[in-house]
Amino acid sequence: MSDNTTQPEFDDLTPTDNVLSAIEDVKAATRKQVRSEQIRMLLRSPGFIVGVIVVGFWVLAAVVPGLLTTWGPKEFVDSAPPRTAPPDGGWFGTDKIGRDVYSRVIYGARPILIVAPLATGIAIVVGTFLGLIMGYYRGYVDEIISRVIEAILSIPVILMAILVVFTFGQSRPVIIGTIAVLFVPAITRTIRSAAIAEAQLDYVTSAKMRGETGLFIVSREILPNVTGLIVVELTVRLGYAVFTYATLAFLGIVTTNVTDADWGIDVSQNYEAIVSDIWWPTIFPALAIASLVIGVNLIADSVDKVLKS
Amino acid sequence: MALPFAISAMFLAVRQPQGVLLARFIIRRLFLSLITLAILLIIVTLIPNIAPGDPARKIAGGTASPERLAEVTESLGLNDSVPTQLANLAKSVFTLDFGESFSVAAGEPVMDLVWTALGNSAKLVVFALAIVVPLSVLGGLIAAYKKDTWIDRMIVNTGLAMSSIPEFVAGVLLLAFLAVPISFFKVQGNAPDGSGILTQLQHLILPALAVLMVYFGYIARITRAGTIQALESDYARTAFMRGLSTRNVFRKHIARNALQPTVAVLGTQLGYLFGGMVGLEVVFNYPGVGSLIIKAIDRADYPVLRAGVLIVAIIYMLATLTADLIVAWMNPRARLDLGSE
Amino acid sequence: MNWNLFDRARRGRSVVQVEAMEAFQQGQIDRRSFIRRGTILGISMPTMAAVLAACGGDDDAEPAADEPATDEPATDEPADEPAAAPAAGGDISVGIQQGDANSGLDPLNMLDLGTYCVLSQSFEYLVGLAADGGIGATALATGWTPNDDASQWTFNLREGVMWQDGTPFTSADVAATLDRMAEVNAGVGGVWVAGSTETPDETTVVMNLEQPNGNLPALVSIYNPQSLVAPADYVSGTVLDDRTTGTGAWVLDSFDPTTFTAKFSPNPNWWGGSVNLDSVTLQGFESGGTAIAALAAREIDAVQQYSVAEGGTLLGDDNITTLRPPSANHRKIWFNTQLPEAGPFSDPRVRQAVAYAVNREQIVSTVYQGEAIVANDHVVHPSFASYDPTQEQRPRDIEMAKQLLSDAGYGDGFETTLDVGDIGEVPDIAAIVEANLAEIGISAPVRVTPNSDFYGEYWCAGATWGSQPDTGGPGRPCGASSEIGIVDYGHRPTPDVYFARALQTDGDWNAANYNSAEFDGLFSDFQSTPDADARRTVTGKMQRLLSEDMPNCVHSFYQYLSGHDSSVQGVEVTALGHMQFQKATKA
Repeated sequence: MSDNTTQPEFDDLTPTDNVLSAIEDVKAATRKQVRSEQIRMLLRSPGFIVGVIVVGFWVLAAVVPGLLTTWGPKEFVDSAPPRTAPPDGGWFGTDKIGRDVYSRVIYGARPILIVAPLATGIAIVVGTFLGLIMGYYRGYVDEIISRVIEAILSIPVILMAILVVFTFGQSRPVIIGTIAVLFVPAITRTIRSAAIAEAQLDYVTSAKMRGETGLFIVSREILPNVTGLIVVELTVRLGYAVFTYATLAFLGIVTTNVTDADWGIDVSQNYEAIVSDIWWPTIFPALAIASLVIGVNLIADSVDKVLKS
Repeated sequence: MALPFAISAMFLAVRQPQGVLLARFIIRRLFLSLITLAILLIIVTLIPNIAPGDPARKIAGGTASPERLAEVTESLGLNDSVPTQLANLAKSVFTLDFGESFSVAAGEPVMDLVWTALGNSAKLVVFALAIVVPLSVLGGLIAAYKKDTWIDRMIVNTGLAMSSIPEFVAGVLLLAFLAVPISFFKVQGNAPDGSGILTQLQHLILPALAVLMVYFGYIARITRAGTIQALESDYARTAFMRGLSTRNVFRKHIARNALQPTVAVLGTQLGYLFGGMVGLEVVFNYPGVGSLIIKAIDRADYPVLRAGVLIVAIIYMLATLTADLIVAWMNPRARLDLGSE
Repeated sequence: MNWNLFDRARRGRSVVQVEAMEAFQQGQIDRRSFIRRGTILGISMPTMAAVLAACGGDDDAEPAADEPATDEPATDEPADEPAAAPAAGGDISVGIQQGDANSGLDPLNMLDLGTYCVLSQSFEYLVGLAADGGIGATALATGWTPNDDASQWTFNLREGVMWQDGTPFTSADVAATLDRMAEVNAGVGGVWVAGSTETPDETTVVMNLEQPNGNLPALVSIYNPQSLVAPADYVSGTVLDDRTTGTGAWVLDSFDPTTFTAKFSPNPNWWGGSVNLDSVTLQGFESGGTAIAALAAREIDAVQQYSVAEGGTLLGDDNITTLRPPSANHRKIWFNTQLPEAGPFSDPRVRQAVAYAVNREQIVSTVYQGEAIVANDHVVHPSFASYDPTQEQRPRDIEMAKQLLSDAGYGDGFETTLDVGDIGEVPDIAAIVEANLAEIGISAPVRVTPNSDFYGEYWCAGATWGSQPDTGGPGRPCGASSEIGIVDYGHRPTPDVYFARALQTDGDWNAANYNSAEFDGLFSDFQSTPDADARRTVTGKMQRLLSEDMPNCVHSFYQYLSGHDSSVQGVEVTALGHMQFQKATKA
């Protein structure tokens, strides 16, 4: 612990509470102005708009699938026989058992849009907390946790995920927890670097001289200055989370029911039929995955650019 | 743990000839890697001990006799205490002997299976990198030189779009739109037994293309960022003002600095390439390390699982170490930065 | 009707054989059934031909109504046999099902089609495969005869047969094999016991059965895959890659267990002379679709079995020959009728409800695209000689199903898990069954397990230790089997094995833990009745009992399909995964 604050002896130079709060107010107002400026830039950026439209569509599909489809995901449609290509068999054709591929794609948005944001959210919270603590306090704890982080990061995420799920079972909470845990290291690293950099700046030193507790400094001083970074990490990791969940679904690890509508599972169930020229039950879910990840990454990218300028 | 830090710190504080600095750096990095390895060993040892159900029963199969079950439990080491298991695992890593497989290939020495899978993965990785690295670096360089033109935007955006696609999706798309209609592109990554090297490469084209799709954007952007930084650095600008040709400046200064981050990234991604391309291996039915590990997990074959995971981790550590070393050699200043972490 | 000829044919035959001839003469069984029965009973070809000639022009007796297209030969010998010598040389590679990792290449304990195919290259059966897909004297036995009541069978062995290590093949080897089979109850429990086989001389084997059994030759034929003949000193549990031996035409050169690839080269000492090919490579594929893709790309020459769903394109391809061997194959739903105690499926009404809810027509038309027939919840295929056609087909009746459920106390439905292996179109069937069950309020999410794991984990798991509840034991051989699941059965020419192993109390494939004294009694009658008529009556009773008790829901019998490039000819296949290349050529 390097927190060796020595109380200054110049009491009459200590800023009064009024001055302090005035300074805080000015800081907050500047931040607000900067934020609205940034939001305006975002709204004008084409990448952001496209990303929001794509992701928004999928969110809509996840929330009210019934609005967008006429059939259920497990219903056998009677308007076309199985294995009928689009457009005869519906917009996306029928799959090998006679279900409507378009409906399955729409309903398939829900699992991925439940797991990925939840996992990312948890990872961000835990990662930020750890990163700030480690970055500010340094020392023994920092070294040990850093080693553990490196150990976890030395195995590809997919393999670690499979290992963990295999150990603890395949239920959805486990999946969410697994992805979250696997993203914490990377987030922690980034936040930690930022925290280290921030901790060396003047405002932190002055806060220490004022006698603020470590907790106060971390949460009130450093944290607001890294929110930009957190937002970027959030969006980037969200893309990775979608990516990872789709891969886990494809590998057959995410659920005990393979008949539920889920993009990754649908790809894994149907990709072999491609060689028989039955490409649509695979390609449309695959494109759905790609479009969601691209959409999220577009948003992440534009947020990143805006926050950097 | 504090002692090595103290020693390194002492050395860093005093100006040393560069050779010794490098040596200190290597030793410190190795030491850190060992600690990471130790933690990994702990994680891997713990897994069968905390997994629900009886791993031995899963391996022996539902119809096995109690004697067989006891046999399997014994050979899994589950009768020993956890520290003993840990010690045995550490020994296995250093002697490269992980015993025999249970269910992936009953009775076969685990390392044989791992070496075969590694060989296959290595083929794919080398071939893929041979395509990916030149193309991506070239793309990044062009994008940097033509910064902010439509070429630049196109390269960056295409790269971004393609790398958003999970590798199994890329594989499936390639399968549908290249392998099926065009007979030159093979459906399986694995060539029939005894094929010549050219046929084997032909089968690997599509998996390699899938790797290209995933990594092009990433590597191109890193190269682009590094090149731009180098181009806009004081040194480069001075050189240009003095009338040196682009090629000259490039050779002397930019190449080195632009490629540094690329090398660093390649190092970290190498481990991922070996073990993480599982989706691709499934789509193209390719018996690499990822697919071996999946099989081991499916059949609860712990010896193979442990060996596979640890080998991948070791490759990753070696690769990052090598990458860091190369970067340190390329840029002396980095030795200080990397040394203090 | 030429009585003279008929009498000559009858003279000197054993009682059971004469009964078969008379049943045919009286029109009780048709021509095809007679030939089948005759072969099983060991009537020689000339004698059968005489009987057929004697009975005159009844050549166009109709086969059973719902029989799938079994008139396509199980082999593809071209109609006009070319007079020139077949092309010599060539290497063949075949995509087969990935074998079960737990059993390995063990001829006695194997249970999947991949391993059947591999081991039957080196080892041979007592009774082999006939050209029409039935059984015949084409393997190690040149003929066989039953005694008067079919309780004792005498087999004549082929002479001049040698093991791959050069030692001669004798009756002692056969006796030892039969003993081993009896010891592990390889589907022959109760038929004969260890030590009951006599070997009067080196080429004669006399089997003394526990009770009369008219179908015995089928139990030591290619259609009982585990009856491969191994040397007298063969230790049970030995795998082929540890000890390379056999009497067959192919010697194992190499075996790679991770990819399940076996490579064979010709056996110079084979009794059948020389073969045309230079080598045979059998390569395991985890996924059928990849195997089909490999065949389409001609990276392999043949696929052991393909499903209509995955290989639809092969059916229409002119350069691919598709073989349709006789096929009583089915993928039936089993219910664990005993555990968990007081579980939903322990009530027969619940099982019947499922039977009324399953949409058999949909399965036949959607999953099999017509290459299947609807079945009636029992394992007696319409092509079996003892099939009773008078039983009514159970219709699909959702109302009845719901009624049965609420009678059983499950008016609000219940939850369970449908466990299936990842073979062919089984997951697709499971998806349809899940939807059908949802209609009557049963929620049955589908859990798919890789084939290599499925058999030990969910099917016929009889564990009495570990995390499983205390299960297994007499009357309950597979206590820890899943509540409900789907399992795949290959073809048999008679229902004996299906009855004995999967339905008889304590049968080793009895995943349903079906424990019915009535069924056991009927089965015993079935085995000991040689008379065709009486046998059909008994079978009829068994059919109805099974449909009533519902240990399994057999919804369809599907047609086994095997495909190869048309440059390959002369391959013989069975619907149990066997592939014989002795006569095969590659252009």
